[in-house]
Amino acid sequence: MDVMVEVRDLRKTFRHDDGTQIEAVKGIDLDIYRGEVFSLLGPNGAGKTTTISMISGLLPPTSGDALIGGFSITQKPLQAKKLIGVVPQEIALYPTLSARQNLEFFGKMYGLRGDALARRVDQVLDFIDLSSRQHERVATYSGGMKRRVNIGVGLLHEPELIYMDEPTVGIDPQSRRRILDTVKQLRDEYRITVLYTTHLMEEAQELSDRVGIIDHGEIIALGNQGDLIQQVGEEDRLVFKVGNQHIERGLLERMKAEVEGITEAIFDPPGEGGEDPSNTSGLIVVMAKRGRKALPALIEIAEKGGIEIQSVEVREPDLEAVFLALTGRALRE
Amino acid sequence: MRKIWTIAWKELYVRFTDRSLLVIMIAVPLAISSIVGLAFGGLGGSDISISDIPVAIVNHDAGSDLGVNYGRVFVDLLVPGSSSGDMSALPACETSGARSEDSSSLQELTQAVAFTPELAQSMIDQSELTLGPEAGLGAQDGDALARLAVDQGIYTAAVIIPEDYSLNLASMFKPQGTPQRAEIEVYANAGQPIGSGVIYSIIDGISQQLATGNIAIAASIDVAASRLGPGVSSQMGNDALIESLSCAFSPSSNLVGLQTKSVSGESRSMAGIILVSVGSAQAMFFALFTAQGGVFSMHAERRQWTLQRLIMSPTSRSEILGGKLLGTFISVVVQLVLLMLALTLVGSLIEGHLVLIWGTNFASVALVLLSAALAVSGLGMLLAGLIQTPEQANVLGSVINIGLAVLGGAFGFQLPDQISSLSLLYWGRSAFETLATNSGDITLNVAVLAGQGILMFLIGLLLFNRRFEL
Repeated sequence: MDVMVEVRDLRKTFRHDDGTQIEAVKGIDLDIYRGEVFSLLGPNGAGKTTTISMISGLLPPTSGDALIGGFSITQKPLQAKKLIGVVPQEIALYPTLSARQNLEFFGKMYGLRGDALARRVDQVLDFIDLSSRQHERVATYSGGMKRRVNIGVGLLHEPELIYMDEPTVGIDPQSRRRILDTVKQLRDEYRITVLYTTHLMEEAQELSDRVGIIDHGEIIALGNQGDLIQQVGEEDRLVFKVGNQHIERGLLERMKAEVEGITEAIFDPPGEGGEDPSNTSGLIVVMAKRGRKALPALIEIAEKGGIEIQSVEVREPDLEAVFLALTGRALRE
Repeated sequence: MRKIWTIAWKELYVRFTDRSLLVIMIAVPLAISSIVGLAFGGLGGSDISISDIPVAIVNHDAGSDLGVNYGRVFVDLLVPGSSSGDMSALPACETSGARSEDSSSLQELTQAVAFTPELAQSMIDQSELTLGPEAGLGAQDGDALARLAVDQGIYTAAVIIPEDYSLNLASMFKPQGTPQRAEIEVYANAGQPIGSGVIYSIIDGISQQLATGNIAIAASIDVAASRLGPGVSSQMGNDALIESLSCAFSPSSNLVGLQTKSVSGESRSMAGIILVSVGSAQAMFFALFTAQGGVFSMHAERRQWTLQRLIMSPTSRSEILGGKLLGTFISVVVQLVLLMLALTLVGSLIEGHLVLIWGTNFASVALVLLSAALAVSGLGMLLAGLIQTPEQANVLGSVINIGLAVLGGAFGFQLPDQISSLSLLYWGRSAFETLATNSGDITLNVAVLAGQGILMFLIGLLLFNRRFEL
């Protein structure tokens, strides 16, 4: 297959003022093929944004390199950057300019001028469905509209590769659905390579042709979803919702020891992301070879331990299970 | 270069379409300047009252071989009580005997003294004049002491007339020999451009009158000599003819008269003068905030991620930085131009007719404006290099700006030049005042503004590049 992005032994070490060092990215090797949606999946702080920042030329790598369409991001940054469209996680727009003015300004930064620029701005405004409000200041837009302009800027110069860094963070479900559909449209209709970072398993699962799972600055698994799930076997995942109750480590160990077929039991405290981004409840997540059969015994142990179970869900093997199996932690931890 | 212009243009657009920012950049300094101008200058175009300008006249003139002492003319005209109007400096002239009106008005305008060795010694003895590092000077060093007195603010100007002034001025009467250039030194206090301008105009006016009179006489001698024939001419002798004709340009003569040059050319309404003085300093004061805000907007862009987006585009870091800095510099220039135009409008409204309060030397005004913008932008860059966060900049930048404004005379009062000149606002303000009153040279001001602007800019850029990783 035709390789769009080649990442070789990419490393980034940050040095703090007190002299300490943190190795945020620890020698990543990665190939992204032309025309695919590649998701970099990992919890917050795993090194996704640092990796992407180096690939897109925002941060200089401590060592290693990335080739974009054959151009080294460290040696030929301007040529490489011409091929990349960027959709950062933040709304990287000038709030006092209109959508059209923002598009025109960034279009000029990519070398577009005159009629070509005007035509392309019209096309992008149509694509993000903001033609009717193009002259209004961005500051007056809703969060979803700003996200669409943010994406539009990345598409303006018709890049061969578009990098989207968690583009659905902090927006309503309707806008989120629209963005996910846009990503699929970019791949299916425009044959654009998409590098997508997320900590949401569902998004990676829905969009990706291939997934790289990153944790503590390393790629711990790489491949298509079927391959990755094969790595952890055909295990069910049982998710017990327990609210704000405190879960003792001993309870989890009893579950593993006393119930047949249990390979992993962890507590996922309340917080953002993970199984359900809006969930504020704590979760007990159990990996079981025959989940439904193990369910009564697990509920009994929980009740004996004084834990009130609010709900139970049995899930088929997925990327979350892969991450859990590889790291012993939930994605949202 | 196109990308630099695109970024600079975006900077200008964002800045000049932000109403709240425009209020701070234009409306506030305009309002303060206008209020101060009206408060101190009043309505109705009342002329500024220029009187009693302290002047020291050091007359070394030994007179000409014709017996005429032109240097004495200056003393008689300017120093009260030095003559009774009979123009004793001039030989055997028939005078009206009445005190010249010209002399009277000049003496009201100035408070001139004949700076004699006795006066100098008296001033030293009474500690009015401090010698300091010039301790080696004695009363006989009249020129140096007079200049020192100007430096110390005792006099607005010192008029130093050299020993050969009359001799050189009379040289044009002599058919044999080359006419010599007659020069007078006017040593003026640059910090008092209005008073200095008036003195310069008066001395220039009297000198012109003397020179014009002499040229007329010389021409008359030539004509008379050619008509009478060389024999008669030689019998009569040039000296006698000159002596009789020399009265023709006597200040009190009924034939020609010595007209003092009117100071109306330098006259401005008080409001106009205050508007230039306070307005220029206020404009530069608020431009300091614009310059600092422009450079510090780099932090805001990083915070809103537009800077990162620019870096991830095929735009070099030097283009990004160049565009931001060019945008900031142009913003400062536009702000100063708008304020100067608005102040001209205010001055004209006060006067009731169009008044070019900044003077008519537009090229020099533009030069001062650009050098002031450079100095202001340079300071902005220096602070951006020294200060780490926008929060620090808000506090420290404001303190520095206000300090410079107080020193530079932006609030309607002026400190002594020795202190005031520490502020770049002083150099800009005094240059604009000088141009407004057409009263001197602005080369030093422009050099100081541009020099410190470039220096601060380079140091600031160096520090900023080290501190701010693009």
